Amino acid sequence: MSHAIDPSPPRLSEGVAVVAGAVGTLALAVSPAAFGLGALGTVTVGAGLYRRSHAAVTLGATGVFCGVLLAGLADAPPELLLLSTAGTVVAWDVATFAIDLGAELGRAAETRRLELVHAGASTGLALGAAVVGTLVYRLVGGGPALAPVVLLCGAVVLAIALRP
Amino acid sequence: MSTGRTRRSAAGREEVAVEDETVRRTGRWRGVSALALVAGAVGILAAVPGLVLCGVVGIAFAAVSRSARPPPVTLRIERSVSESRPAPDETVTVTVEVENVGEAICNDLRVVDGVPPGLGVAEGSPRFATAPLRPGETASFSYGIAATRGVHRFESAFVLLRDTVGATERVARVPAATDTPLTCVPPLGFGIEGSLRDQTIDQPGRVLTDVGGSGVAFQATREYRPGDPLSRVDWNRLAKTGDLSTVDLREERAAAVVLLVDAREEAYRASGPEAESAVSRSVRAAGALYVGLTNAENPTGIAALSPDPYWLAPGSGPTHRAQVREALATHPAFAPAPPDEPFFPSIRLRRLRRRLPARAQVVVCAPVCDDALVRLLRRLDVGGHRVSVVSPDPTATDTPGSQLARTERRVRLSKLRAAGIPVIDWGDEPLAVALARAGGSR
Repeated sequence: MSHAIDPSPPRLSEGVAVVAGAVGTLALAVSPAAFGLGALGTVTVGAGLYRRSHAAVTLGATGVFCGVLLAGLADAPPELLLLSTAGTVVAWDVATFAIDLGAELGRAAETRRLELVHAGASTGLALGAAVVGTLVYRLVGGGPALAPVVLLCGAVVLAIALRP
Repeated sequence: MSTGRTRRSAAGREEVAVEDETVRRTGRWRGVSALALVAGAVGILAAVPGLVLCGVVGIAFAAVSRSARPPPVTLRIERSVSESRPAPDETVTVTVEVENVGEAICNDLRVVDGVPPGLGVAEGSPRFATAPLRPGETASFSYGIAATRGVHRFESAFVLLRDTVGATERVARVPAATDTPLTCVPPLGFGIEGSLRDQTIDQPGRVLTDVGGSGVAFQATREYRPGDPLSRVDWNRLAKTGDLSTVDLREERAAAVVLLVDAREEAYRASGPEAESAVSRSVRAAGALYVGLTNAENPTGIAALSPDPYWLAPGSGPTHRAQVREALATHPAFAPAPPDEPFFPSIRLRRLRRRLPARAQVVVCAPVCDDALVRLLRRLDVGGHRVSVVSPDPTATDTPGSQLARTERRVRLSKLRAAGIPVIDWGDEPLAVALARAGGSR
C-alpha cells in the first residue's frame, strides 16, 4: 500500500544552497569577524535545510548578510561585497525553494531538471546584477553616491519595462 | 477562481480543460528590498560606497519578482497504463505525458497525478517537476501502482506552475485527455463451508433438517403407515416383536442463502491506514462463502447493504458464478471507497425483504460497527429470514479510543448472539480458521 512521503528537500538543491552560502562566506575572508559570522550563517542555512525550517534558513542568510555589512565597514573591495551578497541571496532562494519542493513533491519525485533551472536562473540573476553594478560603479567612477542612484533609476526602469 | 472551463489555446487546435484554477502571489521575495535598503543605509551612514552598491542585487530580485506573471495553464495531460485489467497485487505502470500546448514557456512546472483513491503507489512517485517546458514540448514520468479489487478511475492531475523566481504561482486541476480506468477482478477464491441455520427449501441438498424422511442420519422410529417405502421398514424389530414400524431418517435439504455485504459508509473501517478495509474483507468472505455454498448445492444470491443497492437472486451454475465474480469486483456498491449518499435503513430493509425469496436465510458479512445494523439484523431475523453473521474485526488496540471501539463492537456481537443470531468473529486469522473454530459445517 501507499508509503508515507519523505518530505526532505532534494539533495541537489541542498548542495547548491550550501555551496552558494560558502562562496558568499569565502568572499568575506578579508575580515575575520565577518568571515566568522558568514560561516555561522552558512551552517545555520544547512541546519535549516536539515530541519526543513524556513525561519532557520532566513536567519542563516541574514547572518551571512550581516557578515557582508561587517566586511563593508572593514573596507573590503566592492566586487567581493557584491559577490558575497549574490551568494547570500542565492543560498536563501535555493534553500527555501528546496524546502518547498520537498514538502510539495517529496524526495522520491524526479525534480532534478527543475532544480537545475531554478538554481541557474537565481545564480544568473544575482551574478548579472552584481556584474552590472560593478561595471556601472567602475565606469561612473565619480562620487560615492552617484553610482547607486544611477543603478536605482536603472532598476526602476527595468521593473517598468518588464511589466506586461 | 474559475472552475471547469475549456479554453482554446492560442494555437486554436487544442482544447484545454482546467478546473479550480487559482493564481496567487507567493510573497517569497517580500523582504528582499529591505536587504537593499539596509545595505544602502549602512553604506551611506558609514560612507562606504561598496555597501550601497550591494543593494543592487536585492533591487534586481525585487524588480524581477514584482514584474513576474505566472504562465497560463496550457497543458495537455495524457495518461496511459501498462495493463487495464490487472490481476490483484499486480504492479501497473502508469505513464503520464504533459504537453505544453500554449505559447508561453513553463519555467517551473510541478505535477501531482490523481492516483485513484484506494490504490497505493508501489514504485516511483506520482509527483514530478520539470523545467523548462517549451511550447510543443512534452515531459513524461511514470510510476507503479499496486492493483486491488474494483474499478479504479484516475482523478484530475494537480498542476502547479510558477514563474522563474517563484514570486507568483498558478494552481489548477487538469483532467487527462483520455479516461484510463483500471478494472481488477479477483477470483472468488476457494470455497469455504460455513455453518447454516435450520431454514431450508424443498430441494434435496446437504443441510440436515428435523424433517423425517429419507436420508442417512437416524431420527426416530414410528408406527408403520401404508405407503411407507419397504426400505425404511424396521425388519429387525418386526422379526423380534412382530410390530411393524418405520425408521424415520433426517432429510437433507438445500437452503436458499442470500449473502448480504454491509457496504454502508459505517462499514468502511480498518485497523490502520495500511490495513484492508472491513468492506473488502466482507467481499472476500462473501466470494469464498458463495463458492462453498453453491458447491454444497445451495442456491446462493448476493446483495449489498448500501445506498447503491445491488441484488442478485439466489441461483447457481457457471453463469451465475461469473455474474457474482464480476459484481463483487466491479459493482459500485462494493467499491473500495465509501459511498457519499445517505443510507436509509428502513427503506432499504423493506426493499430487501420484498426481494428475498420465502424461506431464504441471510448470511451477513459486516464489521458491526454501529447499533443501527444490529437493529436492522434483528428485524430481519424476526421477520422470517434466519440471519447469521460473519464479522471481520476492524478494531485495533493501540489507543484508548480504539480499545473502546473494540469493546463496543464486542457488546454489539453479544446483543446479536442474545437475539439468537450466530456470529462468527473474524480477526486476523484466515476466514476458514475462524469458521472452523466457530463449529464449521453442521
